[in-house]
Amino acid sequence: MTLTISQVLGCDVSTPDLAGVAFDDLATVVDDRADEFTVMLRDVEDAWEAGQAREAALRRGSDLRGELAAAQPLLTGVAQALRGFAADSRAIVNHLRELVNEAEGAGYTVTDGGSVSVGAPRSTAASAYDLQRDAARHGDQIRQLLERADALDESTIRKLTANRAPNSASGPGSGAVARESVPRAGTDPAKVHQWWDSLTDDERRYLIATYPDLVGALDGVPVTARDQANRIVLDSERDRLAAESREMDAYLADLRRRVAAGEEVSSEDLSRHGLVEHRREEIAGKLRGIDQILNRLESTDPGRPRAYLVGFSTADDGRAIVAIGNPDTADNVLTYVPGTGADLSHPAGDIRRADYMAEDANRMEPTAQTATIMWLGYDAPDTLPAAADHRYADGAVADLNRFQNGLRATHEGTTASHNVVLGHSYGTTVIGHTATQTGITADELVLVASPGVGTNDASDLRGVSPEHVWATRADGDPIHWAPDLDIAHGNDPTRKDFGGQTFTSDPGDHSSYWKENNPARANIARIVTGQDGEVR
Amino acid sequence: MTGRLAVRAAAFWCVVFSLVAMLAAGCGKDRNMQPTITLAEATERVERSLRDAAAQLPAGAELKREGPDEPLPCEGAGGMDTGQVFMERSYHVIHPEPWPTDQLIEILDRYWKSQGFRVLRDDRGDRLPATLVVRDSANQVDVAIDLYHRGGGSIDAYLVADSDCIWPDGTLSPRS
Amino acid sequence: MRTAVTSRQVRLTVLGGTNASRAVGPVATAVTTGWQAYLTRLAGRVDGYGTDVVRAGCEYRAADDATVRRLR
Repeated sequence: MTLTISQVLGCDVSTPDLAGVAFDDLATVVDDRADEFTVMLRDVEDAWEAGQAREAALRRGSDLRGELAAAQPLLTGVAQALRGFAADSRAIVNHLRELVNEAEGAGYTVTDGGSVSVGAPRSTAASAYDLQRDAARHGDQIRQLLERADALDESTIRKLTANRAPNSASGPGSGAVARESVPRAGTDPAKVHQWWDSLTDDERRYLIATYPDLVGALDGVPVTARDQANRIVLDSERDRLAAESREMDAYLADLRRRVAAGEEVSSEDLSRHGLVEHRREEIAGKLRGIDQILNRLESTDPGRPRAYLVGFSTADDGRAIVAIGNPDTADNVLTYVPGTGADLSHPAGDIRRADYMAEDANRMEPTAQTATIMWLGYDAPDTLPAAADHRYADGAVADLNRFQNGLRATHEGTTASHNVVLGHSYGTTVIGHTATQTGITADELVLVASPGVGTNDASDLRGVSPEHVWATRADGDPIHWAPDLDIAHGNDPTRKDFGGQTFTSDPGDHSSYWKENNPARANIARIVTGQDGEVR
Repeated sequence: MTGRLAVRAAAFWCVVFSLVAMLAAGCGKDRNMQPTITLAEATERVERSLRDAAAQLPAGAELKREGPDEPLPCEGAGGMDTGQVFMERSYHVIHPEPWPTDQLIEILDRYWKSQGFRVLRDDRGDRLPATLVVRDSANQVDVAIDLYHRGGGSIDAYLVADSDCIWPDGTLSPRS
Repeated sequence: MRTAVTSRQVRLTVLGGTNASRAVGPVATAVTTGWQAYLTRLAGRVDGYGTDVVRAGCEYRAADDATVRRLR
């Protein structure tokens, strides 16, 4: 089927967007019910001691629970397909409208099928040959967009069909895949992607439902599948941490009661008390962070792009990778590496910055689609004194390198996206170490408020040429106190002798760059949308 | 580098970065603890600023809401939430063709100056976007007009207004 | 036991006939309708299960208690 201009321009974007939001909402509801069902089954198990009926009841209950749980990633998949269709269509419609306006403005005749011809030329300055060539160029661009709309229809149909409601009560089981066949963490994303491509829809569904922690963490698995898997991981981690927290509360309450009652408390109990308090605080922080992530993931505001959970783990200090919009289908992709103090206990501020940058870029260039990613895929220094240590950056090198390669591997369509990696504060040091040690797959690097990137020369940053390395530092930002010494992270990359480009930001503090109306935001949007010539 | 030099360098860095930490944290000033207007009032003021600006535009324009609906959290030092929020409202100016979009900055500049608003930024020479940002101190609102020059000579105009950071309930409540 | 998925939430997802001229339109509608039907059935089965288990569990308890009383 070939689409016409009027069919594409007449596309209703808001209904699929709203329906997508509703499907995400439904996924949450179904998951909550599955959780409640688990609790109920436990009660049945406790209250009903023995007998064949008990066994039958538990078996059937477990099947039903499995069905509820299996519905969640599928509903998420429908939401992804619908909201992805809306986001892609919006960019296509905007671009098509602009091209048609341009062509008609030049006096050409545009047919509904997309061919453009020179009618009665308004200007005699250009030769007939030039006019024909220009009209043909417009025609080519319009036809390419119509083909893109066609391809979008096809891929959306494929995604919707892959996530349709099950016909029978079959939980995970069909399409079983051995755990050992899943590529190991750290495998080349291109190889991972080949493996993923070789699987059937049933096998993919099985893997997402059965090994969500493995699938969710693998660079090279498409973002939509990682999102489905990581939402399951996040949910079960939240339940696990909440249960652990309740247990500790009960333990502490009992200990306090015993102390108040004058009972004897052993020294072991006392030393354990300190550990439990510490662990409880750590868990409280992680639960708070999970709630902040959920807050964005479950946003029902259709004015904001859909968020994708690309990575999640509560191990150590925790990791979270949240994308605003789908990087696999976007034209421009920005990876934001936050700096000192970033951790799982308070990701909201960094997610919000990613939101701002996506919104700025999409407004700057509405004919393209920009996705941004908050990449807290490394252990950031907790305090500013710790930020003098380069080991945090070194620890992130392999992961950031692989993540960027993964974005290239999973990107859909024939044209590579324009990829930007932006760091703030210590995040710039992470980028610098990655680029100097392994190279980085990106088209542009942006260094905001950098304490130094581990080299004094932009040409040491492998993978990106110096004219695509951008830096800014606000007047008044205390980062100016960081001295240009090689014993730390090296020179300020806004220095002329660093050899990169610079852009303007308003005077302000260390986090002022994302304040509304700060010209840094417009400059970042220009870089992200490939309008380098407009950067001020 | 000798071991002793390395230790000294590390110690020096700790001092420098601790200093940076102190400065970034605002040296412990309690500058944001005062009561503020409520979220409802802030939303009203932001909307009023935009309506007033829109009333100055040439006839035929309509405003279409874009962007998030919810208030946005305010960032303190290091990007941490302060518990305060601000309301941002953004409208795409939809207009018939032809329409004098390129004159919007001059028109609003005159109007906003007549209201005594202070110019925060005037980048009307830029193309992506041409911007004028003013401060309405009485209402504690920043208002901006952004003009994006597109292909084919068309211009997309946006009116954007932001409130200051406020406590949703007007004061630091236990919930915040 | 609460209903697995309320009908209000299922109704929310109705796509209607938008983008009917696009190939994706009818597929989106069919997938939505399929999910509505499936979730409604699943909700019924979950509710039914809750009722069955509570009844069977209570009968088991009653029979158990009666046996205990008889043997005492």
